[in-house]
Amino acid sequence: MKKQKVKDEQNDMRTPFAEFVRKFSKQKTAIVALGFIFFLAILAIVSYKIAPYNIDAFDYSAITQLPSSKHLFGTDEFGRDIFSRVICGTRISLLVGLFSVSIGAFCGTILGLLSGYYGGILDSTIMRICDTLFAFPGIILAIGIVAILGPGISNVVIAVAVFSTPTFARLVRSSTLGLKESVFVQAARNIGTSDIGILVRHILPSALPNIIVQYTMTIGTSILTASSLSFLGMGAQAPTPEWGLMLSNGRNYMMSFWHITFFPGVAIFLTVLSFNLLGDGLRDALDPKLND
Amino acid sequence: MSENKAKNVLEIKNMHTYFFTDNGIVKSVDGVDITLKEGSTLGIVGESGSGKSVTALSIMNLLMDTKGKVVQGEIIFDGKDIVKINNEEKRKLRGSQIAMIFQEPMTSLNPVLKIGDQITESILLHTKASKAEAKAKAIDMLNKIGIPRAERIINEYPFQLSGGMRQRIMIAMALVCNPKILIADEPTTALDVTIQAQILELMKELKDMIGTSIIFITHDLGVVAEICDEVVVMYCGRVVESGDVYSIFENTKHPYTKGLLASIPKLGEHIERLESIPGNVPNPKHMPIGCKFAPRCKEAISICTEKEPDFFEYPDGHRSRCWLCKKEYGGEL
Repeated sequence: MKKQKVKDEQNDMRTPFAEFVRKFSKQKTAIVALGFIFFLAILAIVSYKIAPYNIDAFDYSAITQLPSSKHLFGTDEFGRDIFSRVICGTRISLLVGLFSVSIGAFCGTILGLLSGYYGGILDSTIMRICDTLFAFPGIILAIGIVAILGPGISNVVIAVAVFSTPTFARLVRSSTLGLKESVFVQAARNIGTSDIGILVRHILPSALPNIIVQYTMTIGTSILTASSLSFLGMGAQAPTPEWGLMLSNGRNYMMSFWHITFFPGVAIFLTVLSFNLLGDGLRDALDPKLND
Repeated sequence: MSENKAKNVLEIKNMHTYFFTDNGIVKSVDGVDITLKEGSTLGIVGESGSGKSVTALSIMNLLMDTKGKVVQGEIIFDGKDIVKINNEEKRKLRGSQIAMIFQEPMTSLNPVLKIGDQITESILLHTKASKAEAKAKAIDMLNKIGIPRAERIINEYPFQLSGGMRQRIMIAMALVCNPKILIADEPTTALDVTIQAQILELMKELKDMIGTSIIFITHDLGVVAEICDEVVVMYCGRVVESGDVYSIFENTKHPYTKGLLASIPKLGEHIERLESIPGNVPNPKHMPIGCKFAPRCKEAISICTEKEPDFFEYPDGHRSRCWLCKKEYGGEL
């Protein structure tokens, strides 16, 4: 009993960051996911250096070979090494995920802050635009945007950014609406803090946990969307080693050569899963209401 | 009269603050005159809904987020009518010239910012001080308000401090730029009695040290007797009685003030039930005709429900908005 009390007092004296680290370290699955994401990140950096084969080299003497010690994941219909292509695809998928969600989160946060803080016509306008974007199923919207901009990986980034923006805008708006009424925001206004100061210094930090969780979760989704677009032929173009594109190429041979689609598919699955699990763990660790 | 005026830091003249809601206009403050003398403490007393806090927000120009607006009257500060100046000037005034502390110390500090950052924010906003200077000033201010280990406190977060400590921090934040006026909106309500006494004592000391005038909003008449020089009693958005603290307590004129004083428990007196003023503050949308207090007043006479009384001013400056006062002096009703 006494021990518990002493422990509680120690907890009270921790900084918020230390408290977060303590809570997060208890989330075993999230740590595994984080480890896997780190592994992917390193792989993305060194991929072209460690890839055993040239990813674009055709080898007609060894097409559609099953996994073996020579070709770990086997070879595709042109004899290209699938293992090399999958690890090189890491870079593309991670970059697309990171860039598109960063753009979306940045724009969405600004729109959400403005919309929640100022209200009125600005709020209605921003939110109606978001509602419109919400009305489309994500992939349809992305297809529409790519159809306008033309296929290509950078347009996929823009498309995914556009369709993740409204989620962030809504999320940040709702946090802002609650926070702008809080006494500490009024107290800040009281000492003459400007609107921008209040938004950036007082409201944003409190909304940040939500943004971080949403950000992590959305990276998974956006990698999936980007792959889907490539699968549909609207994203990366051959011969880019993009996972979705590899699935698309391999699907003609799926019945006879499972390995051509299996490995890129597993790569997508594991990446998206680990981002989602990490997001879950972060949410539990960042939620002050969930106490151990 | 002109002599007196020179010493006034703040003059509110016939201020009306209305809220324009979907259900019609709510006249929260309806013709208030308040004068704050330099270096003095003015208490604003009244029940919930009497317009005390709205008066404070009007002075702070913090109504722009609500549906409220000062529709008539002047608030003269430093020779300028601060109702009319633009928003940027209003913002600069807040914190540097007029500061405010709130009722809830537990929620009025930002939970995710360090104490030091919150105190220096005001300094950095209103002066050209560097970050290091601001930090030194913040530590100095914390020492002034009697916070131990100030160097460590500035690196701590609000949740690590008690309610009394937080209210001290709020006072430090409010006073760090040496404002001319400090508005304290029930600053001790959420604190226990011993801490209350400490905070009041602290405010008294700082008032003399910094030379700030204080507007103290409260419904606790004990606190008023403790700290205030002058008292304004508000009811339904109007001032019903005003004067210096002695005349209000010892020579109470308005039946409403009498009722408030009667409802304070007295030490050493055993009674089963405290005095109370019957009824409630009227709904601002359905104000009674005549004196707003008449329906609840024990001493009401016929004219009270017909015509609203004006101020009756006594020679010592004590004013009361009541027909009875006029009658007492043999005035025509």
